[in-house]
Amino acid sequence: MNRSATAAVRIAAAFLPRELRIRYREQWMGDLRDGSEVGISTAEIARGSLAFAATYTRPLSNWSHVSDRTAALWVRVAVALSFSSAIVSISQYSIFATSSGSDASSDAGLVALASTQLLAAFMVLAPLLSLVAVFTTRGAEGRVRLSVGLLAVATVLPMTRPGIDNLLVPEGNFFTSPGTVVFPIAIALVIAAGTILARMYRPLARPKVPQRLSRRLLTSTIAGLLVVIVVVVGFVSMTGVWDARTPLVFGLPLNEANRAMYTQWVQLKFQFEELVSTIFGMWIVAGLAVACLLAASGFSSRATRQRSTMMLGIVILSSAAIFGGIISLLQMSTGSTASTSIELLIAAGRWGLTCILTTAILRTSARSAAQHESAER
Amino acid sequence: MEPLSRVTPATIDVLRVLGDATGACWGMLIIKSSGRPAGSVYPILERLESLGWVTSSWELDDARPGPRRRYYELTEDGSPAASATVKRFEEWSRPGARRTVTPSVVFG
Repeated sequence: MNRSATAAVRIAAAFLPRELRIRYREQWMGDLRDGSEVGISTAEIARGSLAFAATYTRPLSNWSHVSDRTAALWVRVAVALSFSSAIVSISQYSIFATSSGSDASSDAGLVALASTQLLAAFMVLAPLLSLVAVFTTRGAEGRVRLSVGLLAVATVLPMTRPGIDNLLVPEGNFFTSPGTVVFPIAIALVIAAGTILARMYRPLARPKVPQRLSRRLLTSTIAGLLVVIVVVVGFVSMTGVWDARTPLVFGLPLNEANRAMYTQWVQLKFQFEELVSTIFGMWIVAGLAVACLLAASGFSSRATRQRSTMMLGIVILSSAAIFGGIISLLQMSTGSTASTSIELLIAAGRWGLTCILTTAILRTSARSAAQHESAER
Repeated sequence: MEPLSRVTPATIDVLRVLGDATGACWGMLIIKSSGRPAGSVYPILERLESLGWVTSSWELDDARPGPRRRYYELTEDGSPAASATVKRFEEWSRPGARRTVTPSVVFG
């Protein structure tokens, strides 16, 4: 029998409630032994057992000392904290890119350093608290646990490879360095978690009142035009700046070989910074387009209550993404030369963003298991 | 027996396999016959069992040493309910059928 598959099955069984653990361990071990008879691989059984354990919903009725209301509250808090910390972690790229440039000897540097360190602490503590909350709360749905787990990984990923900007030697490529790659992975994880959560709250019945075609057409056209403008402007500005930048490393006491190497490195660094700025700029405008589109079309119809709530959540998230992008761009453009008032503004913006996101998700998520169930039916 | 709150195409495939089987069916055979991944079939069987549609039992063959196989079969109430659900799903998914809602609304 495959050892890794056996280990996976044992781990999966260990995560199940006590009353199911022994039964499923024996069942899956039997499946591992005999599955090949019907052409099912041990890897397939191992994946199945892990998926089962990750999505199994523990019945609340087995734990009478935990009320439905309390469990639902903990789950909402966990989702809100994990989602906000993940969004902040990704959107606040500048924390990792520029924090080492902060000078604690000045007022502005002290504000920047304190703000960054406190936010970093939040991004460590929030996913930890969320994980503890969903995995110790009986009645928390398996899908919520999975989402919170994905969001926790998404939060931590950008912190695992800080200091892209601080390489002192020209090693590797900025575009393909692990510090860069973790960001798209984190974004993909947030999208996956968001999809799972959105499907849990999705409206099942479509609104019966037809929307006016002209209005939908107008908003779609405006949103489409905005996206096209963003892509064109972003592309043109990016290529324009690439050509204009000329690295100046001639003053350094280097031999010809090292100078060529450093010149190439600095050029690549500038290209990378421009790409990051462009992505954030496009993010801001795309977020604005999504928010406008949803605000215009989502609230105009007689949609179901769940639909309106979900729309409100998406509008708030899009607005928060815009806000986060602006803060990040501001931080990157000022670098370590910002005045105290600008640093205070950025710090207030970052914490405002965190609070807005947490509160918004708390307000828009289902209040109880009963409400959640009614949304599913 | 409680009604299903969520009916997916994978649920229908599992119900179909259980309905076609004569007697109790080994879990691995359900996975094989339904063509669905184990990660979908295990949770569906657990849900069907907890709602009273399906019952499961250990194999009685003492000749095979080690861990036992688990066999599943539809309950007395679950059998007609499964047939009705599969039939309604087939009607719903027929080409040309009017579909303004999702399967969950139809079967919930």
